[in-house]
Amino acid sequence: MIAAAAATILLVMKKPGNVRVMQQTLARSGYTGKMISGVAELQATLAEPLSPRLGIVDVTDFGSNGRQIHTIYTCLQERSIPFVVLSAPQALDLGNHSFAYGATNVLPKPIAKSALLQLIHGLAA
Amino acid sequence: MERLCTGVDGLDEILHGGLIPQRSYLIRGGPGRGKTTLGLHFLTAVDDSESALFIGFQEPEAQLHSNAASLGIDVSAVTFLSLAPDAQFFTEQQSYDVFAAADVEQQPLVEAIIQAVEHHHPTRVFVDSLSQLRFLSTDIFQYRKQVLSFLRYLTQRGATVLFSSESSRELPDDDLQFIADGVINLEADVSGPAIRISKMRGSSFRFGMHHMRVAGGGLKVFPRMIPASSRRAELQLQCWGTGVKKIDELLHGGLAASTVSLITGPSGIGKSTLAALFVAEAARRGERAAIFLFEEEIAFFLRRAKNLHLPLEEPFADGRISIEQVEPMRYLVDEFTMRVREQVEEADVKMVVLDSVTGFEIALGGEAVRERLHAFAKGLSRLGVTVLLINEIEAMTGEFRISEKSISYLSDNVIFLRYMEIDGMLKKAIGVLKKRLSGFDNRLHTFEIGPGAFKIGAPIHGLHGVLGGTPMPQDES
Repeated sequence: MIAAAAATILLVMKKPGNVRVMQQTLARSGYTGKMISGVAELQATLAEPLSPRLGIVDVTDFGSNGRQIHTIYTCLQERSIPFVVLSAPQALDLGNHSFAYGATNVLPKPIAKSALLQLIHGLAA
Repeated sequence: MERLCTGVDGLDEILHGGLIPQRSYLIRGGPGRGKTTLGLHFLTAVDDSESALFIGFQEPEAQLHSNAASLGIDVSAVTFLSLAPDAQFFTEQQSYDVFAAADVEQQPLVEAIIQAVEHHHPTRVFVDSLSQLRFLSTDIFQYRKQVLSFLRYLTQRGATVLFSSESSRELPDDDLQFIADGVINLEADVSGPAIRISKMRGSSFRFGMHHMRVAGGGLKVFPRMIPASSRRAELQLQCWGTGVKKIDELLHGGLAASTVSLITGPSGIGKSTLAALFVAEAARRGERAAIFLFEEEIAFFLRRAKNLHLPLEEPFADGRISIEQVEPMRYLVDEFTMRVREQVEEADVKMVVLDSVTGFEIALGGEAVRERLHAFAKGLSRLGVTVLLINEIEAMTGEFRISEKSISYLSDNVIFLRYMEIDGMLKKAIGVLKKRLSGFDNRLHTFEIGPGAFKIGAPIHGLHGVLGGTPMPQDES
């Protein structure tokens, strides 16, 4: 738990409200959530001396742009950063494709906080 | 039993003194019915030893202050905990879908409430509205449990809690009604907005719909008049005459005090004039009387009285007689009856004239007010007031009926006036049909109204069918 206190989790999502509640939830468990709203920002962040433990990608925010989401997955995979994909229940097909790019889990929104935190503890520890 | 005032006098009267402290009460009603206003009244009724907390999920504090000010309610002693979303929630796109609302909102909300309660130790809490918690619960069981626990938390800390709900067909609030110790419904019937108590654990209350109004000064509740179970017997010994010897002889002295009398007859026959005779005589004896005109203007009424040499102007001027012209839609029924009751009690009015029953019904809300009229007339009579109801019959002649409104049952005395056609002439007849407390002259008499007099003629002899309006000589029957 002490090791996880400094861990950064990349929040690859665009909706400010989602980022806010994610950051609040992560902060209460000792994580830092860093918002990443697009490919360029992800690449810039990964170039920094930062060792993100985990990525949480809301695929719904990038749903119509397959190229962009493909790049995001590739970047995370190349850096060996495990990532979890969040998807709207009606677009789970889109999320399921992410398994081919190394996603550890695809979760339908809304997610139970406790379940997400349990998963994070397992992956980011 | 100790009672806590609600801040609304009329509601306290309906609740037989107010709310039982440290319990929770549900205020139900559609949008704009006055739920928040009632909550504000409740909170602002604190005395120096109390503190009040408003927990709001909908309106921001500034808006609540503004609304209260516009109603003349001083909320300076109230602490507001506004849990309503601010404008940034929209402008900064703060809505979310990664977590369920219950997962995100419940904890900070509970923490904020606990903090406010522990800090202010409120004795009065208003939650507006508890329906909001429904959206933060995962299922109905959790919601019910959460509400019960929340209310218990507040009441165990010494607070009396009022909470509102927003019920609809899709989201009924039956569960909240079961949970609450009392249920106050803000409703509306055809005669206007009304308040109704449907549940009050550990206390009796006045049943039925009671009209209410939200206006300057806030919420006003007008408890419907319930006649006292007994009347003051000594008042029945008094008798009210007209000062016209022959009319008083018909009535064997006059109308007993604190009774209800129906003066019934077709349009223009002299019902109001006859009532005015009783009023003028009461004023002459130094007593106070009140006339409520639902159809005629005061000026016309007084001019007519003057033409008939009825001395009403002077007692009207010095206050022995009050005359009010009641315009349609001005009052709610219970508002009107409360106003009359207050006038009776404050000015010691001994006689009340309602002119007319039809006007009362039309001006105050239609057919639905009949039961109110009953309670009104009986209620006044048991306060010692002599009540004269003027009742117009539509049919000028034909089958005789005391009233087309089925109200004769509530009258102790009935005086009827009839037109009759004799030899191509329209004549008038007067008779007494009923007088509960004494005998009366059961003969019909002709009468005339003219300047200076209400002249009673000789008893009608040798005719039958007078009540039908077309009398025939006895020997032709």
